[in-house]
Amino acid sequence: MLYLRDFSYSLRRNRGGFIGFLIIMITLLCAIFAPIIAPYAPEEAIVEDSRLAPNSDHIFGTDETGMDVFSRVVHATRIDVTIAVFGTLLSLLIGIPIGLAAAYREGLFGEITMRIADVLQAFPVFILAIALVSILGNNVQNIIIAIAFLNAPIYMRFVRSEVLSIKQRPYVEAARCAGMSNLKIMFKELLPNSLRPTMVQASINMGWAILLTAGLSFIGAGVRVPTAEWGSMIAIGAPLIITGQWWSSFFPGVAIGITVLGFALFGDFLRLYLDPERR
Amino acid sequence: MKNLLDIKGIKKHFPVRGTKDVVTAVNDISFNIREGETFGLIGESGSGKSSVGRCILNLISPTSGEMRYKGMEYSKFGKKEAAVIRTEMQMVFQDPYYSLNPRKTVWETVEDTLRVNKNLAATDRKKMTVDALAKVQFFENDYEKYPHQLSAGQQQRVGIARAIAPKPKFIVLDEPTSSLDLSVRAEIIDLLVKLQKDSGITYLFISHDLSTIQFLCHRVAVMYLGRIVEYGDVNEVFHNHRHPYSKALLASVMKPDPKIPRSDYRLSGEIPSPINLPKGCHLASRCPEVEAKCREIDPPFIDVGNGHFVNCHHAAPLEKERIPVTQKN
Repeated sequence: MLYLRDFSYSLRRNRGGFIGFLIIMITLLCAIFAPIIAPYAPEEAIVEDSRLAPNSDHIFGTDETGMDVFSRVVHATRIDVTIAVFGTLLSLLIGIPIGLAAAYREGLFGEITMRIADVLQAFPVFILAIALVSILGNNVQNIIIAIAFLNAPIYMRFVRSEVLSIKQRPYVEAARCAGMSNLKIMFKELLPNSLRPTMVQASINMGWAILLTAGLSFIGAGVRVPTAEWGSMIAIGAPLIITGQWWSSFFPGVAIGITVLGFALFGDFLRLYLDPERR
Repeated sequence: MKNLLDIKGIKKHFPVRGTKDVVTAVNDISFNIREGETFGLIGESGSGKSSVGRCILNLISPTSGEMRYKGMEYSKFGKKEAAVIRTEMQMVFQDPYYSLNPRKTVWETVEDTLRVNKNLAATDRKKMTVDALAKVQFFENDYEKYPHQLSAGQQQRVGIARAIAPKPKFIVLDEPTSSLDLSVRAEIIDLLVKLQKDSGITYLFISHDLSTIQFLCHRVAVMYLGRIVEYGDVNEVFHNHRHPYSKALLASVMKPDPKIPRSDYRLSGEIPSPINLPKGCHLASRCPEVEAKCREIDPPFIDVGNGHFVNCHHAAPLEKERIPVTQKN
């Protein structure tokens, strides 16, 4: 309870963080209550209503096949947020323990894991994502796996470099002096003090994950049409922009931009909030 | 007095990255620490004094040598036996801020050291934590503070509370006062003296601050380049030093009264690299009293009486009048 009050107090004093938090909350609410918010079903195509400009019935207009853009933008948060959250969580779950172990046990194990991370990071992210998804098959689950796989080396590096710098601190020596086990030293002394950059990065990476998902869907390697997803919606609407029907690409694009911004702002706030000296 | 610790011939080599060289941090050191005394270890930076302290606590394992605690050779103990000795030997660190986990409160810092002992009931553990904190003048309203909310002196007192909480018999004090203001330094030293009086803890006090050593220690050893060059009772070493290095070191102490004549005994040159140690006496290249044999033969430890040993070819019996040694209480 005390933590919660402290959190909300700090959040209110940080304008960027507050806006970011607000955006994330709105996105989450959209995801949860999509069927209530959206006036139409996301895949309900009414052919005679196709390519309608924004009006009172369809506030974001309709696309080529007559699907309501607003309903689809709202419903798409479900897939995009799910992929971002679970992809990031999974990569944290993989990256943090490996990074911690690689730093604590330098030497052969540490070297090998870092070289593997080097190889993974040497590939352009998007190309590797396309390759992974085309090998595994393009569905939501595999996009999550691909994102986890691509981001894990980042967290691994972050945790490792932090642990390397603090494991020489006397308080770690003091813990050893007291007879604490290696596991306890790793998880009670080292990990809590090395998570800050990782947490900040995780929030920013949520935004990246959404961008990546949208990017994959845009080129057809991600979520399949007609499932509502921001990237694939942009792809559907893109050919229409040239004929002046901008709305079916524009609104999903705005949604991506705002959500990514929200996570980035919140990440920035986390960096300040997680500073132990702030308390 | 019984010996609490017997250190015999310990060496510590550190490999130099990317080469086959080794840095000899501790080079064949032997001494003993008696129960209830404060043993001082003096030396300049890089002389290996901190490495000696860490070797004794097994925080780094010595390359070779024997270490006995109450007669038991503990450096080769298994995990279980080592855990018992662990709680009997503790350490206080030089930098009070970095020696505390920034995400732990004062209370957690002290209590977590006791959690290691699984046999300790929660109520006893809490009581021991309260006791340890009370001994360093920390009371309830400060328990929930974080390290950055404390002054350096308070931080160091938490460090001391953490060390004394498991009721150790022996504490290594690794320059506990060198990063503190003078006024705070006095407070910490008084606290350490009081703790020793109350519970008979044995200290190994590592420092380059000669006046603190002189005030606090019963016996001292002077280290130079990984070796002990002279050791004995504090007054013997401070007033009757025979080794050229000790002479130069003690001549460098500022005196509170400018009228007191200062010795202008000086060494020349630089300290040799601990990677390529010279043959013979390590001080030979800098010593004003150097002879041919110093460069060839390792000097022996010469007993100059009163439990005072000097590692020098020239430490032969004294010509000048001995200064009477006053007993320390």
